[in-house]
Amino acid sequence: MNVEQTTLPKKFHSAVVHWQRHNFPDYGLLPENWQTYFPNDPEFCLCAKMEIGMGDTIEVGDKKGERRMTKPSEMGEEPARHLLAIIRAQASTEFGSIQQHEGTLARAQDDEDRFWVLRVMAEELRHGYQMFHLLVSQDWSQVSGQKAEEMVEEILSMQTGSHVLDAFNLEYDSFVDNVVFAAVIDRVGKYQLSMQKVCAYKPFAQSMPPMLREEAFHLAAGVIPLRRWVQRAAEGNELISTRPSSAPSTSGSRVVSRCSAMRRGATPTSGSASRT
Amino acid sequence: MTSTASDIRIRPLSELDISRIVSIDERLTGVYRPEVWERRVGYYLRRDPESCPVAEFEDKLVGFMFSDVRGGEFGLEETTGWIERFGVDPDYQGRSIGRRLFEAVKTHMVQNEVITIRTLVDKNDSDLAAFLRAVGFDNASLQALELRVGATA
Repeated sequence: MNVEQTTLPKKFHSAVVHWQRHNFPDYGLLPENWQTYFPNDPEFCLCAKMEIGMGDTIEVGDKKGERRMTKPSEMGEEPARHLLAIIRAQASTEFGSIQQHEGTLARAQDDEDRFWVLRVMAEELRHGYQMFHLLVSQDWSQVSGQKAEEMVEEILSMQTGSHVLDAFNLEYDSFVDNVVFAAVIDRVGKYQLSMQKVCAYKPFAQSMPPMLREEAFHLAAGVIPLRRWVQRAAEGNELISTRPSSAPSTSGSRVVSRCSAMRRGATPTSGSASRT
Repeated sequence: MTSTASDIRIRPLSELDISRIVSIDERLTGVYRPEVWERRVGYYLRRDPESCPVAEFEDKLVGFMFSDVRGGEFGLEETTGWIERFGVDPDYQGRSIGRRLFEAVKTHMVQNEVITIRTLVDKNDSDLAAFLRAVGFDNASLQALELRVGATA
């Protein structure tokens, strides 16, 4: 793929690494085990990636056919303010999801599942880094009322409970949540990134193709383990059930029910797997 | 059931396609091997889903083609598109689905500055070779060689 890689100025890069040490201590396991789990893939890079070769023309909307903008000042105040809010929210979700995943990562019962989620987390860190690149490489002060350092500091200080979007303010209960989150919430992310790919602000649009390629794996890191679990349940594996531990319920609450069972330390209804 | 090439929708691979790809492969080979396709689909999702088009008819996946843009393999420094796997549900063969999938791959390869598209075909698979020749492939000067070093196949 035709991608240009960029590193943040040292103070911002160091701020992200500092955040990682405190919020994502398992990060170091990824390079140590990369060749075991991803032998055919290029090594992970904590950097911003900009797609090269994207068109200069706006593809959709009122300004369709006009030239894409490359600076916040070219956008006008209101569009710039909205876009800034989107970039900050996007950054918040990336760092927020790492905080969520980290809490239950060690509870994975399968090493491959764990390292897939670990890779997802590292790539979310890169996506947050990408958003910081957008924030600090241009002057947003006209609409932000803040310096770049203050915007970065504000986002890095968020914790589960204070993030911009509610989905990132929930604590996980078990590793089931890591997987379900990747399968469901990252799917929302995929649609969001797809919309952002046609953004009239070129640096934002250029950020999306590399993120979308990574996001595709995030969905797989959710769907594939889920599929395996359901298959084991259907085969009668006594440790996995799709049946609620109490009264019958809708399929949506079955996963929740299993999460609850694991949270209590109980084995979900053994020997009662339902055929799916 | 009848369908025409225009009824077929081509889109990039997604993680939800694994089950149907496993089914198509099982129908083509007689072997049920979900773990193989989980690995392969996972790999291609990480690489570039857009280089792996799938064909849908009435929301049902009926064909797939997995390819990849690389460079530097076997001393070939030029940017090369490699077609690794493809398959069409036997119930939907004969409707130009393979050709539509290949055209999608070719378009994506051209956009990614690929110079040559390459693949390997078993000499005994004359149907596959005929399909590839029909979409424009020709003999290459490269020859595939192999040396078995394991006790079993």
